[in-house]
Amino acid sequence: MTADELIDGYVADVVMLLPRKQRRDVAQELRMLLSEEVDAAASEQASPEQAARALLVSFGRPADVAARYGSPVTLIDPADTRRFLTLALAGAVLIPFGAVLNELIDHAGPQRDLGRAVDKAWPSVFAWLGLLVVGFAAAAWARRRRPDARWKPHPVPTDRINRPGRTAAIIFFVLGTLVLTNPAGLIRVVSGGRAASAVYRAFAYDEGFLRLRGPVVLGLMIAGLIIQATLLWQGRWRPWIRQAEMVNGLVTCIVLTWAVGAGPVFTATPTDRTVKGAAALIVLVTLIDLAVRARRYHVRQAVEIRE
Amino acid sequence: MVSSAEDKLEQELRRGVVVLAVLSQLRTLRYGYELRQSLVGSGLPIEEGTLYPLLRRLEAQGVLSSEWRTTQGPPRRYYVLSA
Repeated sequence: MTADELIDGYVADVVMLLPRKQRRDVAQELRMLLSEEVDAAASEQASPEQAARALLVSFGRPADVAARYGSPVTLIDPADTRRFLTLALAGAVLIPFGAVLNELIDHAGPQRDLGRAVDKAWPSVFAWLGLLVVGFAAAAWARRRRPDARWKPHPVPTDRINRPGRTAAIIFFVLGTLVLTNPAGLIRVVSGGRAASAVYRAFAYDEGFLRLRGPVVLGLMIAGLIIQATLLWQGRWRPWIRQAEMVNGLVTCIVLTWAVGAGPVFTATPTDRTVKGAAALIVLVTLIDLAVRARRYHVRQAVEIRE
Repeated sequence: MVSSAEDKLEQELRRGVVVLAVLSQLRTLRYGYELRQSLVGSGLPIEEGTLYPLLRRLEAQGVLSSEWRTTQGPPRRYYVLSA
């Protein structure tokens, strides 16, 4: 190829990426400038073609040069990239994990195919990524329309707790634990003993669950209650309470996954599926909550909040 | 390692002054190639792929104005500081 052909090809690749109204003008100027540079660079040692090749390589990728000619539209603000990647990765991990939990709930031992469950989750992962792109692009567009938007001051959450709120939560948690320990007792109290036997059967625990998984889950719930009661007594978060709660949360997720996958919880299938579905949701929400809390705690440590 | 740090420092310094250097050379009408040679001669080598788009961007911002002129040879786009 001659030097002129090389320059023409390069200029075409640059202006192809420019707005239509800019193309002719930039092409004319760029072509002229490149020709002059090649004429100056060509010598007895380097032919015009060699000089053109070297010049065009040093000029840069046509896409990069085109970007420098104007203000390229960014879909996602560079400032949002880290957050986008975090959410994308979280979705890419949690969605297949949710599919695995679903497979554990839907099928008993030999019929399970966890690999197939993960494969079927991929369209949902891509849908999540697409949703993120749309969401962040919309946010970037909204921000460009309000360039004067300012940061709004807000207090950083402290280590103090809301005692009345925490007390109410503990009472609710205790009542919930009592109900789960003895659902038949609640039915008897609510119905005055007049409920049909089918209702009691619907909430009967599986013997296998009661032998091992049940006591372990109950133990973890009690441990969680003790941590909350300690927090209430202390009146504020301490590092060791945070760590205890995070460990308890993580262990709870592992145990609930095991409880869901190792066999029936209730003898009645509809009740079993419903409770397992709720447990799977708790696992996913808890994992997200643990990650968010760990990040916030790390930020507080870095900033060294004064109280 | 040290030369790499020096290269990076030179890069950062050059990035910081390139616009000022370009503007300082455009009190009179000049075209792109001539401007680059002038900057090289003043000890500030600028890559062609950086300078030529920069002139367009500064014109789009209203800092420079330009016109096509045919003096000796092909038409060239001349730039000057806006009034």
